[in-house]
Amino acid sequence: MTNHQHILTLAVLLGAVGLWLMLPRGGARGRAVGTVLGIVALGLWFSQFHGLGQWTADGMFFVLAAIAVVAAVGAVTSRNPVYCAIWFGLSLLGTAGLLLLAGAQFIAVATVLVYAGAILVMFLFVLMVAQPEGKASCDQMSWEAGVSAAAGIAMVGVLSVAIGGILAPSCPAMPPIAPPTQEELAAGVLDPHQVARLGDELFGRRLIAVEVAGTLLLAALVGAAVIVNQFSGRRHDGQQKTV
Amino acid sequence: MNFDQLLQNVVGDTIGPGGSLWAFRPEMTLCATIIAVLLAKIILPGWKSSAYYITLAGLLAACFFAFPWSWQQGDMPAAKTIFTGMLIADSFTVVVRGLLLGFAVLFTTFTQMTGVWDRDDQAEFFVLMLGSLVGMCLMISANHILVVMLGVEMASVPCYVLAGMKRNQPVSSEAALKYAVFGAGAAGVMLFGLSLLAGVLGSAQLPTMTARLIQIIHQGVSPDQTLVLSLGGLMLMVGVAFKLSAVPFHFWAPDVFEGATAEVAAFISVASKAAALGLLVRLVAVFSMPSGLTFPEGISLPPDQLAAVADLGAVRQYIVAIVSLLAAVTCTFGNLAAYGQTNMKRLLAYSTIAHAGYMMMPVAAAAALVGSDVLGAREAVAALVIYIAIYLFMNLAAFAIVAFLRNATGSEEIADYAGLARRSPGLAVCMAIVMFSLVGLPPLAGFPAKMTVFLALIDAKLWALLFVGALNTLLSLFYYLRVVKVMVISPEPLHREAPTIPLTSMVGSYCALLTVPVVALFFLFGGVLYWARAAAHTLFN
Repeated sequence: MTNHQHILTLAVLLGAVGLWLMLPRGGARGRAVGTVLGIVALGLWFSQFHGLGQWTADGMFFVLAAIAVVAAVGAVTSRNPVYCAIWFGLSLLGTAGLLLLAGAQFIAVATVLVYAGAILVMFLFVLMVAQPEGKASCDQMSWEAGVSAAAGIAMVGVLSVAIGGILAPSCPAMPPIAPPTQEELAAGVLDPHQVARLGDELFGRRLIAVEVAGTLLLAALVGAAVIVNQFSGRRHDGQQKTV
Repeated sequence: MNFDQLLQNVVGDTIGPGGSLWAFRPEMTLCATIIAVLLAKIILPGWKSSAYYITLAGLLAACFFAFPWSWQQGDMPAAKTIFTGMLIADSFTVVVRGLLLGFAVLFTTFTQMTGVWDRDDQAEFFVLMLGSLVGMCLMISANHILVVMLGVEMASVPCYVLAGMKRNQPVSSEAALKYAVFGAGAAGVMLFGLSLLAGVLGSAQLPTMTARLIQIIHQGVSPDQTLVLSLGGLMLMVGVAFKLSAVPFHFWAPDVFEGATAEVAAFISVASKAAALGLLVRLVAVFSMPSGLTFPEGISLPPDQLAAVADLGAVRQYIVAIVSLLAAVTCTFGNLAAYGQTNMKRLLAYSTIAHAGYMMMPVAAAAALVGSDVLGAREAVAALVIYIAIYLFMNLAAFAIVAFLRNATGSEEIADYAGLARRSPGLAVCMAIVMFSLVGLPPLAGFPAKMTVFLALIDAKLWALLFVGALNTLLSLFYYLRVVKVMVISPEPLHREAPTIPLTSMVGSYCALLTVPVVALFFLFGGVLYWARAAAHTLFN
């Protein structure tokens, strides 16, 4: 194994141990150690990435990637569910920034709109409505912290194998990515009609699928209303208090 | 590309001459009816039965648009793709969609007569039913995996809610939850399978996928590709088998049928099944035969097309193996499990599972025949359409009688039907006719339905499947007979009387109306055969 592979393997293992230490496990100590290990792992990872060679683009990438990863760790290690939700939103913003950097404008905006705008607000509503009297103890602890950390290490390990080439026999380091040429940029990311072409695809060739998806959502909405109505009806009748 | 250009393209494709919307009018009508029902509930709160009348009017209008007014003998419209190849409009779509819409009309009047929904729930019930119907129409005309997936979801999601629409009934909620969880899992597996297929074949449009498949097979398929393709096909079948309630994906059916009202059970057992079979026929037709073949009088194909047909031989064998295995197991399991049932709806659930098995048999026959004898394959699909048409009346009548008896007695146990033949002989005769027809005894419509299916199996030389089918018909005789025995012979219990529902009453005459076709279609079988052949006419070319 080369030096590069050693460093990536070490980063994966350190990251997993650090995450396990940071997870709220009910009275267990070691969060500070975990934080340090996590920072070291993140630094090791970043040291193995080759950027595009332009310090502005690379700097943007590292800042956004750090925001996304740190916020994601915060979302799973926070003890307060509301903080978890807000950390999750920050992580989504970082991800959206990365997508924007990669030239996927539509997906970046859609991520912010759908996840940060709608789903996160729904999370917060559920938290506030479901627990107006305060946090339950089961929400402040991580269940199966070891299993979660193991699942995380498996996921990140597989990705590192696939992208970073840990198992590749003779891979000195990740080959530096050639910066895209002006023609490629003009045809792809810098095309002024990039999103318009997506719209053309969606509302031209796939028009019927979009319309059907809309009708499906309408039917699902009515279904949700029926279910809610049944529950409120039960409470109203007083026939069955516990549901 | 600006908005104006985009609009021009869309308008040219949809509304312009020969556009797609013309063939899509029934579905559009259903969507408009959904909106009308919802609006009427808000605008006219005083009109209590608005949902029923608007739904009935919308369904009749959709039937009017769906009916092929210009068809004469031998004047079948050619298959045509609409909406940039996402959907296919051919005679199979037209006939099966017509059956579905006709069923929906009968079903709507049936739910109004049983009065199972109080006035507040009615609008939601009809909206969900119409939404599910739109999804079913998409399933039978799917030509693109996006539409396959959206159609299946759209047909299923409203059914999950319908299964749970029974106030203060934990059994009903449990059934709905079971159905939804199982359905979500099956849909996920199906989506995974579809992505595997699309990934290997590099397209999402079904005929293009077949063209790529022929290309890959012609160049020599690698073991990896074979593995991924067969896995993808298997996972796709999981989704279809769930909709069909085929063994081993049938677990939801008995619980949902018992938990849901008899009305919803009738909808799931007839409409949902017919649509799933339509989808199965579409998938089998697309993957067993290259599209765009030119038949100069049926016999001799150009050499390159003959080679393409031969290349798909392995695919056809795979389809025949999976579908016949599923059909044989489903049929046998359904019939054996029906024996021990004491609840009428559970018995009908297992009977539905068994019939799903019978109805998958002609599909296997069609896939086996299509390589050598296209006309025989069409005949096999025609047998399926005949079975669907006749099954529609038989099962709707059975569930209608169960629902009316539930309204009268509050019970759905078979034992509580004792003495029915004495108190309401007309209704008992209707039930007996339906039961005998479900077995397939002559002179009832179930007999020619089963006969054409078995003839297709003989044609395809699927002897094992024919044996299983014949044996199962014999097996099923006993549990259907048990229902008749309880009604006619078992003594009436002392503590209560069986309900008295004369045939001259509104309810009784509705049951009689549904039972008449079960007898009449035996004698008018030529008409059914004509339409079924018309339906299959445009397939496999």
